[in-house]
Amino acid sequence: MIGVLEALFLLFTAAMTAYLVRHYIFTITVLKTSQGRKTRLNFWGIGYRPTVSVLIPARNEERVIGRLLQRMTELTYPKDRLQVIVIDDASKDDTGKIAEQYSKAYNYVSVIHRGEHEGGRGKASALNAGLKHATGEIVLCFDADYYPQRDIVEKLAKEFIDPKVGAVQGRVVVLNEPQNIVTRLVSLERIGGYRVDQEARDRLGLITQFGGTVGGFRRKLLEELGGWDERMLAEDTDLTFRVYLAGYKVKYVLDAECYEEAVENWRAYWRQRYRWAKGHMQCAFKHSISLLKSDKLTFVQKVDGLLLLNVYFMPIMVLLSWIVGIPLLVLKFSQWLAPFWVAVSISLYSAVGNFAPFYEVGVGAHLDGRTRAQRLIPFLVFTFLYNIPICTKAFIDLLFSKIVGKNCHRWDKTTHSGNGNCYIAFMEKH
Amino acid sequence: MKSMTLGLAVGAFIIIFSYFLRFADEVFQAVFVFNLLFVCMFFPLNGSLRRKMAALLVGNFICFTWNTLFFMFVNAVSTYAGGGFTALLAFISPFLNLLWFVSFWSTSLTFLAEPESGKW
Repeated sequence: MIGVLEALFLLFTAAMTAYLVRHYIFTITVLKTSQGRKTRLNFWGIGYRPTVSVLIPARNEERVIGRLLQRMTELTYPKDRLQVIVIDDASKDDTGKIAEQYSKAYNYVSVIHRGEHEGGRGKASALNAGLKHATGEIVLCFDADYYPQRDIVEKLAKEFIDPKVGAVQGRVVVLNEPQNIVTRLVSLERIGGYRVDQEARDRLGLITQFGGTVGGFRRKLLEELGGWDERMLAEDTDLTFRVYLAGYKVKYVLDAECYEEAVENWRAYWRQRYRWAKGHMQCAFKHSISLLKSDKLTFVQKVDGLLLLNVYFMPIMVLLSWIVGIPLLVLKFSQWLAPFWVAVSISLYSAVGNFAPFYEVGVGAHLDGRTRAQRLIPFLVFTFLYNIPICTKAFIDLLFSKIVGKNCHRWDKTTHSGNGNCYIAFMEKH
Repeated sequence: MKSMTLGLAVGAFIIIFSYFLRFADEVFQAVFVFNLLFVCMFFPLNGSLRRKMAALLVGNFICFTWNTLFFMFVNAVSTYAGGGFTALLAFISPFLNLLWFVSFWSTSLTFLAEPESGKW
């Protein structure tokens, strides 16, 4: 019995140590290349201006859609090379009307209205509807609650001059950060994810992730891949892996910033993360084997891809390793695994390795010069603990649906209050 | 690189020193983890070496004091509350240590940082 506990503990610790090493390498990579200057200078493809279609799926987004469409009219990208498509996904509010007003005023803005019978089936379905009308060489996507920089299209589109680039991803920054503790913590998570994690993966030539918004694809590649998979809850992660398996790569553009309205309370946080966790786990089941078999990826990319696909299993593993660790640590049953090493490994991977990459967040904030935000880092332990039941429930539900053989994956849309609007004026001023 | 090497050397010295001082196992374990984490996570950053060393020494002082007091408390309580409570506290200890490690580390970062950027 003790042998089994020891073996389990070592197995969990090995998996979490892999994440610990990965996060540490990522952070050191970004530190080495970024300290001393804020952004990378990149003149690659600076004059390249392909035709671009921007897809904006929107369902009941009347509070935020106007500001995004207004921003679309302020983009510095040549308007004769730009097409903006709003997909009004069976909205019950005035989203469609607002989009129609912009469509009438600007000839490059168009609206697709989806009725109740075809709409409301999730973002992937709405994006596929928009893709049918897209004519640009490049297809970019923005969520309705996002607010991009004026020159974001240039910054993203220029990367496609490299024929190996199949997709691009820009940086997401939280717009309503000062609102409350939840938005502040989400902002810290975003800093860790985009300032360090994505940047390091791009620099190291690993699996850079398309995040579903503030990014895009070559339209031809997207059509060849069959568009977004409507059965997947994390359609962005799914598409990321399909792009890599097709022999292309995703390019991350750090200085292409876009501001998002983050979830404002713990309930919304749960719903969003539950969807992400379940979707990611779906992708892990779908892509793990094909990833290992692929001849288009290097060994290191395969390892990173596996770690990325399985990242949402980590909180569950932490929980299990704590449960297994109790008898080993407290009752000192183990003959050869000293309690000292059990405690050391728990402390180490909890700090750096698994789902609480404090180090990445702290270094990201350090590089961004966010001194005050750094003081909130200890509070990330709440999100770390909160993610344990979220991911455990997502895993149990997914397992249940696999056993029953029923696809019960419902797209739970995040509601946006429009509270971010008041920060835009402040941001523009500074 | 020089800063990291120096940090590792000082960290290793403190770990070895505390081992030979024969503290309680739990205190030594906390000193070990703190030095390993703090040196690896703080010394690669840009900033004054003097501040980094000062933070490392202050951290070690807090680590030693907190863990010694905590385990004195655990031993005192175990006399009255029995082994179960002691076991629970011993298990909670790495987690409590983690909380102050991260807090101390993130606070230390603010002493190394450049002035606040335009973002809030």
